[in-house]
Amino acid sequence: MKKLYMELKYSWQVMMHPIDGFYELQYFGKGSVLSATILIALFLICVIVNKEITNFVFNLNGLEETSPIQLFVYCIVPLFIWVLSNYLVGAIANGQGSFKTIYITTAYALLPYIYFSIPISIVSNVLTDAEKSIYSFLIFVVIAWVVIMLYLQVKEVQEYEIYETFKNIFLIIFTAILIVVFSFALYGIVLQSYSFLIEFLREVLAYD
Amino acid sequence: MNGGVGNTYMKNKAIFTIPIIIILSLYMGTSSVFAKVPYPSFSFGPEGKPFPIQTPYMPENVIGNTLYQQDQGKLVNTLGLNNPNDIFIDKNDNLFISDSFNNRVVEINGNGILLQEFGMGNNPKSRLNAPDGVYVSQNGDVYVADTGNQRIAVYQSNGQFLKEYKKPDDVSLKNIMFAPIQLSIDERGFLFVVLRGSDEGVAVLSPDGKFQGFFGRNVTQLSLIERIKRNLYTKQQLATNSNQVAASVSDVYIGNDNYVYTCTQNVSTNQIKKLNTKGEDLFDNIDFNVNNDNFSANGDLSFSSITVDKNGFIYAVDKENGLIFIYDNNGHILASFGMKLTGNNFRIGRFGMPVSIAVNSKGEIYVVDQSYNGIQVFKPTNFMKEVFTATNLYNNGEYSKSKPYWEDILKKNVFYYEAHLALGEIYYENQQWSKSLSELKLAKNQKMYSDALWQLRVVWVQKNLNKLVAALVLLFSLFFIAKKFNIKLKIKKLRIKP
Repeated sequence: MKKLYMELKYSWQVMMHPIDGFYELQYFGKGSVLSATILIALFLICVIVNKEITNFVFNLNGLEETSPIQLFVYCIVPLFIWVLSNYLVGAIANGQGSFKTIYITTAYALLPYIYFSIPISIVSNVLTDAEKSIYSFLIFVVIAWVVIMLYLQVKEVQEYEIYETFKNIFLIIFTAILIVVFSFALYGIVLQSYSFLIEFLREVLAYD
Repeated sequence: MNGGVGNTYMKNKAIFTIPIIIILSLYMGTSSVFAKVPYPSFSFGPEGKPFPIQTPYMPENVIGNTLYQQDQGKLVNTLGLNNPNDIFIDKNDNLFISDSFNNRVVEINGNGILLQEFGMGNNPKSRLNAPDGVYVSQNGDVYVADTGNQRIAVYQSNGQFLKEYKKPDDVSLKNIMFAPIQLSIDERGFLFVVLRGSDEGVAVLSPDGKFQGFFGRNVTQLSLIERIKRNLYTKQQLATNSNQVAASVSDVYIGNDNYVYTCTQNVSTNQIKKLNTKGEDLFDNIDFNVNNDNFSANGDLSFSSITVDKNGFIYAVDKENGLIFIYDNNGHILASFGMKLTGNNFRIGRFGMPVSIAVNSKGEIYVVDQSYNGIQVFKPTNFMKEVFTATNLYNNGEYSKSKPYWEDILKKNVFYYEAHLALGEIYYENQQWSKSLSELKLAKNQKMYSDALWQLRVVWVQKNLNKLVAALVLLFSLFFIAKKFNIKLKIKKLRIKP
């Protein structure tokens, strides 16, 4: 319990000094799968809470038009595809990260959103349309921070050079797209073969 | 003290009872409504999102498939309508219907009793050939778009042939067939004529029959593929490629407010236009498209006919989807009802070929349906009457008078979008900002919500400025004290450490 508390407490350190932070996560065991999973769960909770409490002026539909499953698919699934393709690309392109480290560091890369998005949503409630630029600037800062964290995550964990990192991020995104396309194709094939099987059984065994 | 307790008790009770009442009313509302009428009724919120409403119009009867004539005090059957094309209701609530296969125009009253026939006389000039549009002017003259004879025939109210408008001798009409299908007449007596297959818009004729120009032309809508084709095709290929002309106007109606209302089929924007005398469309930025996930409409709206009542409410009938839409004078949708006729399942309210729509002074809707060879009649319900009253008062700026009506509408239908929007604006005008905010949130109007929030914030800051400044000063002083304290602590720590 104490260890978990220390791991979560260390998140601030990671966010403020990501290069050192990712290094220590990787080699000194400052984070664990459990703490990373908790952070991902917090991320999902933040997304849901933000949808609810952000000012109506910047947030037309709120939670009305979504469902927990939809939010899960939109937030968590891309994250896992990122982890998977990050690992796969790293494995063939001299990356140093294990699957576990990549999972943990990806979760810690989301920290700026977990820390700051809810305060921004609370502040948004006193802003009107005229101050929209303030709100969008704050959101932009958080998202840019997360993007930089993800970039540093790839760079530090896999131990790449700057140019190499950009190339590999491009490859990771390409792999992610391929994973999505192939999983759709697989889904279609499974569906087809299932209905084929049913038809076949119906024909041969008079199964109903 | 006692009152306080009672109040919280009431509040707690309300938390449980209100949802139950809402659920019950919804359940009872829908079940009773669907049991009575054979069609669903919807209205639409922002982005064309549908929500169910109480039945706005009750089916009354179908008239015209058999007509009756007064003969020595007795009613005698006479020739009924055969493929009626158009309907017009005059100021005495008599119906004028163009009966195209019988080559006549009939004047009947609301019970289907024949009062007068036009175009049946021996005079060859007077005879009609497949008439379509009908219009009755203020002095009772009957204008008929005599499509088959390529003219507009004018009769006196007693059936006597008066005059005709032939194709005007004008250069711009040289290559166009003069086959009028719809017409309307403005205050000055100018004729606005829809010509069959014309992509130029509505032809305008002066009272003496001179051509004045085209009006309200639709813009050619090119799809993405069409645009690519245009760039790639040779001239020869382009010449054989159709689908490049602007959609032709399907109906024209000039309201009491002297605006020209037109509707167009098979277009995805500007299905209804409200044109001023310059030809500018006041509905240009209104999105008429509706989200059709939850009801029977498939594809775009396709309005075949339009009419406007004396209060400026717009009624349009969608031929493809069998739906009737009612808009207010600003193009906001109030209600829609109806269903497409499938098979031989003839029930009033299911539309097979609804080609024309008209409204009488009592607000009853008459829809000419060729599948029935007759006219379907609908009576507004109390709910719809209330919506009309509220909208009327509201659009005339009588906010406080319209407020109880809107509140009553919301009691009957919590989803009614226009009511939330109107109440939001009424509260805004009354400077009840927080009430306005909650209504505008339900109405999904971000712009007005933001304005109300601005006002609320100003009020709050004005009220609490003293406290705000005091709190800030206190915070800063605490901060400084803590800082000094901290430094001392650190010094102490430093002293302890060695």
